[in-house]
Amino acid sequence: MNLEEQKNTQEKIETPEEQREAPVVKPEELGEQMLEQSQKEIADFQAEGESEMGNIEKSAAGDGLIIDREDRAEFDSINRETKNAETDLMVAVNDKNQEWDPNGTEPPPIPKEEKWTPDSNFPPPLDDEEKLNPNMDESLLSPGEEELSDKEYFPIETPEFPKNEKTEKENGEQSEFEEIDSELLQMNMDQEKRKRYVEDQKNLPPNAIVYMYNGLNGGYEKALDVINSKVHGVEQRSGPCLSFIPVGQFWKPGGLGFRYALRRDQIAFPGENNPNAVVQIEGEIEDVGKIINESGGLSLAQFEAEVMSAKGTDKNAKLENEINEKLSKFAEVRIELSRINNETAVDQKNKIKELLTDYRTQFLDTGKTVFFSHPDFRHNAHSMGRYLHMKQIENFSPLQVSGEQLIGNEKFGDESENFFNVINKTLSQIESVILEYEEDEKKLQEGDKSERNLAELADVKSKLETINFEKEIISKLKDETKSGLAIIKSSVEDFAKKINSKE
Amino acid sequence: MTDSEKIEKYKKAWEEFQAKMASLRKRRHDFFVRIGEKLDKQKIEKLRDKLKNQ
Repeated sequence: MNLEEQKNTQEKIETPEEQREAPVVKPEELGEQMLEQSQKEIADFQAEGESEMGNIEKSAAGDGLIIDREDRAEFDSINRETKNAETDLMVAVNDKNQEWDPNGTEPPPIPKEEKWTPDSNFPPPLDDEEKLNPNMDESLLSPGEEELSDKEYFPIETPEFPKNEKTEKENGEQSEFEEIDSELLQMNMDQEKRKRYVEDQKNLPPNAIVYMYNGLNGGYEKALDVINSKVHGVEQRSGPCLSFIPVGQFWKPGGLGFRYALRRDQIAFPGENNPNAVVQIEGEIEDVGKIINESGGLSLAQFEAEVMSAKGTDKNAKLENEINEKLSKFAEVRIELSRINNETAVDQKNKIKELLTDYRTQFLDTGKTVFFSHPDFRHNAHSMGRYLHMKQIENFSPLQVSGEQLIGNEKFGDESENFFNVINKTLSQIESVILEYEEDEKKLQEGDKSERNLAELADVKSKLETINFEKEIISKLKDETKSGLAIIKSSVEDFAKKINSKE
Repeated sequence: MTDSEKIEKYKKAWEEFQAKMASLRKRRHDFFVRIGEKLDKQKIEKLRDKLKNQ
């Protein structure tokens, strides 16, 4: 829809001022009209955005270009915010309290008995409550709450609403964090629907955004604990800590949790060998996951997440502001780190990619590698092999930084630095293998000229030639990574100074 | 609450909704401009690399 059309659409609805001048229109009718129009406007807005984004993605894919996950996530976040606008409007229009004046002499109306629906602002009746997902691991609770029993974990009993019966409608203090989607919540009680939903997520393309939830028992304070933790995000403990469907504690008023926006290729379902995965899915219906990245958590400085609230969660303005400030700081860091990663040290990055590709096609894929097939180093070479063979070829990001130092003066937890250390270790191991083969070569040259010895000598010479070439490529990798790291570190440090000077 | 008060309240809510949608439209417009620039940059880098390798 173009601007003119939007203007026309907006003009179709009479403003409340016009409605007031036309006494035939009742406020209730106007409210309904406004809600209907707002839904249409949002649907048009989203359809228009999806269509434009679809064209951009199609054209980018055709040219072999990559749309950053941060960008895709930002686009999704704009769409989600339309929901907030709609909710605000609905709250204003549906506010039943306007029917009753608390300062007046009339008693409040007796509420009608309502049937529970997923949209109800009260928990389901006791009879409908079941243990929501008996296969879910306890550590789907927030970190540090594994000691809670299943009974505490799954709200089998009706969650308690605030005893003073001051609901958000009365005091206007409902948390402003986005509410958990009630349709999703309902899936906790319908395994078939849940299976279909998980299947849909599984079938999404690699760059699509998939949401995963971590619920907290502890509301605002617990959300802040997670943000301020060493990992600055949800941390992996014993069992699965993320799920596609928000579970248990989100039913409770006062409940908060995190919703991570992950790229589909950052999630590995059973049987998938996904080099970019940071979450490994498990569970009977493959609806829960463990964090498997090296830092053991999903730092908000690297992964986009937002805080979500349960229905009826009272607002704690002070902590809500504090959380929002921290989340926006993390968002700033993510965007800047993504920019640094994309725009600096581009030459090094491209050279490293080429070297990795060469190494893979010449050695790893053909099985000709000497280093990785050497029995003494097969185990030690695993970490290098992960970088070379699985993890980094397609989406190599040696300059990726966690940004932890920007947030909490933590150690510079840098993927690139890990990579650099692994390269160094590998080089020294390669050198020791070379020395070993050179000794063998010397012994065989000094030995008798039997057919067997000559054959062994030819084999050792061939291995030496191969492993020296392996060493050459890995040395180049080291040089390029080192200069790339220097550039990225200086950019990150500049950014850190900028951030710190703001505080 | 009288009808006119209700209508006044709706009017305010509608204006806020429109303002929020306008701000989202602007944000999305800026986003598409920025992403377009980023992709153009990537494309140029690709061409540059290709030329280097020729």
